[in-house]
Amino acid sequence: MPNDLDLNNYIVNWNDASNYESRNQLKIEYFNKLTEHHLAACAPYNKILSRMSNFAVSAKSFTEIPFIPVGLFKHLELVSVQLENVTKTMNSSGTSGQLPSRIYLDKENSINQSKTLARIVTERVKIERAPLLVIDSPEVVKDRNQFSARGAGILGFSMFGRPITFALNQDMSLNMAAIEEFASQSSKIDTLAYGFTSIIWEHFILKLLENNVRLDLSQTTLIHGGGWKKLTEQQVSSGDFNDTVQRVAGVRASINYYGMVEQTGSIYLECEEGYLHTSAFNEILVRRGKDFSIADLGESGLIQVLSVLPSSYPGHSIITEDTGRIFGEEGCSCGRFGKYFKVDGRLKSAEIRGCSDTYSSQFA
Amino acid sequence: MTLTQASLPELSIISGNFDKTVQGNTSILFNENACKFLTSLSESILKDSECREHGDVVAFAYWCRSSSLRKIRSQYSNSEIRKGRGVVFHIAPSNVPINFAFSFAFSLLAGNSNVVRLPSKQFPQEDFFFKHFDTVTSISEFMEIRNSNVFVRYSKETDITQQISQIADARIIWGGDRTVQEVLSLNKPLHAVDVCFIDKYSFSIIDSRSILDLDDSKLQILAERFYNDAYIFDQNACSSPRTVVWVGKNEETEFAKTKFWSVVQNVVEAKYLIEDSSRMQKFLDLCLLSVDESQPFLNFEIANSLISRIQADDFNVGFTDIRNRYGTFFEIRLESLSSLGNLITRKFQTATYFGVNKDELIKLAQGDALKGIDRLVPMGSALDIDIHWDGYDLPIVLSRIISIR
Repeated sequence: MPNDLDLNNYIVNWNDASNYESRNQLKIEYFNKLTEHHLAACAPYNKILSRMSNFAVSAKSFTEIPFIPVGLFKHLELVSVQLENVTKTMNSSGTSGQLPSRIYLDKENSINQSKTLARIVTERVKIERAPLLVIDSPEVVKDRNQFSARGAGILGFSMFGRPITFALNQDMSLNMAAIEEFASQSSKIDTLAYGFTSIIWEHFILKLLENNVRLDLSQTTLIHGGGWKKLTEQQVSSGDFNDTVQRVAGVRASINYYGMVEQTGSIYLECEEGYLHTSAFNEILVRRGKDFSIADLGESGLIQVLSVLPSSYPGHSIITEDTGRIFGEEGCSCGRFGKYFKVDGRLKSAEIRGCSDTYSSQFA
Repeated sequence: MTLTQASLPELSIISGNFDKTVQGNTSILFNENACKFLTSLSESILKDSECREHGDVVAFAYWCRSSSLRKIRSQYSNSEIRKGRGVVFHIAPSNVPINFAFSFAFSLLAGNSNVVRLPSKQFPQEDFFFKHFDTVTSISEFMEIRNSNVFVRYSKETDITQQISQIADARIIWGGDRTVQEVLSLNKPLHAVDVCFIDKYSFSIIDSRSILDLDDSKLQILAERFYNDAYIFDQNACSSPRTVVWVGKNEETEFAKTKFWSVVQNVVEAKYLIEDSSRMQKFLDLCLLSVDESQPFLNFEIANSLISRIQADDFNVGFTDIRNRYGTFFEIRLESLSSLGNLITRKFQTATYFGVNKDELIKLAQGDALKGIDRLVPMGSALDIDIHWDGYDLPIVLSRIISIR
């Protein structure tokens, strides 16, 4: 790892910077260093970039930073460290019938993920350590060297948890005894709850409703993200979700986040106004599908995510298959800095034309 | 063995009569009734003002109008007796809407009874086609057509393909390698023949000099033809060009490329709609191609989602396996057409050409080294399906000869 890729140093400088422009400048410089590092350390990444006729190693703006398609992690082994230094492999849950993404982490990268997640969350909830209710089954985190986006999220959030309670049994049924014990603790002190949005909905909220159980978690802040596609299919909006969680579990606040396994740690939290926000650790761009040009404010397009964390794999700048809109920078009425945006959904796969029926399986 | 509609509850009949069709009545090649019927069908379609919405159905109607059928018929000898084979089972591809109608018509002209499995996805062209099919077959003269042909739809998950295969005298299998493989694994009578349309690869041949000689309006027309061949099916049709072979000297070819592609770019910009997910797929395809060691140098402009050109030295073996699509073209330059023959494998289907002398094409086709290529057609005709397809003479393959001495 080159010495100048010092995340702590970057964060100190970023915090010290006097204004938004100079912070962005620091961020762009850091992304450039990451591009340079991966170009030197990851041969396939180098090959791909060298064949793109228009990209900049020394970008002067976020828009000039080269990006690769998120699907690449499903097809190629993209690693920027010696393989023997890889301590963890993360797999995306992947929609059924699709290949999962494979993300290779060394010790440093995975520590940075956990630390960053902690920083982003504590800055928001102002809690360093508290009892944590994980709304999932302990099964998901059994194998610590090989896990999914769900497992990675749980492990990350476990940093805050003392003690940690799992709300679901092995078979994903409600562990009522554990939940009630946690609820009784929560009446006295601030607590946290965490889970995958779709899991919380399907295996927690709907089950509580079915069993006619209401909880009082009025001191608990729930943080959740992921699996929105499933909820959108069931026509459950973010508002519906929050309202129902409030009604059924009585939580103090429910905070949605946007993140992906390819950039674990540097998540985007939703503010009180319902917008997701960038931070020191990440950046967002929305591009038009037609020519990858930058969409106007409020115009829906493909989301490009940038993260300062990926050092053991070249995932610092990725164009996703999610669509979203950026509404502005620095202007959100919640008062927070950074770009604020919304995620609209995921691209539907296109109708396949042509005479070979099985064409879609070619690269799938 | 008899197979009836009643024994196949999961089969839906779109038009025609299943039970009578599977009796397998046959007629002679180009029998009068079949030709008359297709002519009437053609007239009925072309009279309907709605046909303007379905260019592909119009193309079909043109193909089977009286004069066109007469021309086709004149290519075949009258001196021998040829009859249909019996029941022909058609498995239409799921992604090309009107293909089923051509498949049906080829076989009808060969004198067969037909069971046509329609694509799983229902296209608007289909309703339009059957509106006219039903009208024409309700005329008493063509009752027999309704009784010896049937169009069906059923889920792939059923065993109906197997059941129909067992009574088929011939099968026509569209849909590429995997579908062909699946259907071939199903039992059929020992005498039955299969016509299989596997995945194929197509390209264009352009004479560089001829491009330089073209005036603007002619170049515009040529670019539109190239667009139709390549982009209408997202470059996914077997006969859509994936490679452009330039024939000429180095310098003139470079000029010709610039001239040609800039006009194609304008046409594609004006006409082509690429969905975002396809755009992402194309970006991913290009990235994966970039890391493929077996591929020659390439360089792509990510901002240009319409035309991606990859400069190559020759048809690499890998080319036929890489299904470049959504407007991605390999380009090769040859000094003369004579060196092309050695590069062609069995996987090649169509070569569209421009500015090339027909004598040279004949020489190429006759060359001993040539293993593939089923059609050489002018640019703009890549998608025009015809009675000769994939190297088969369909009326001949779908009929049997009865010799009398």
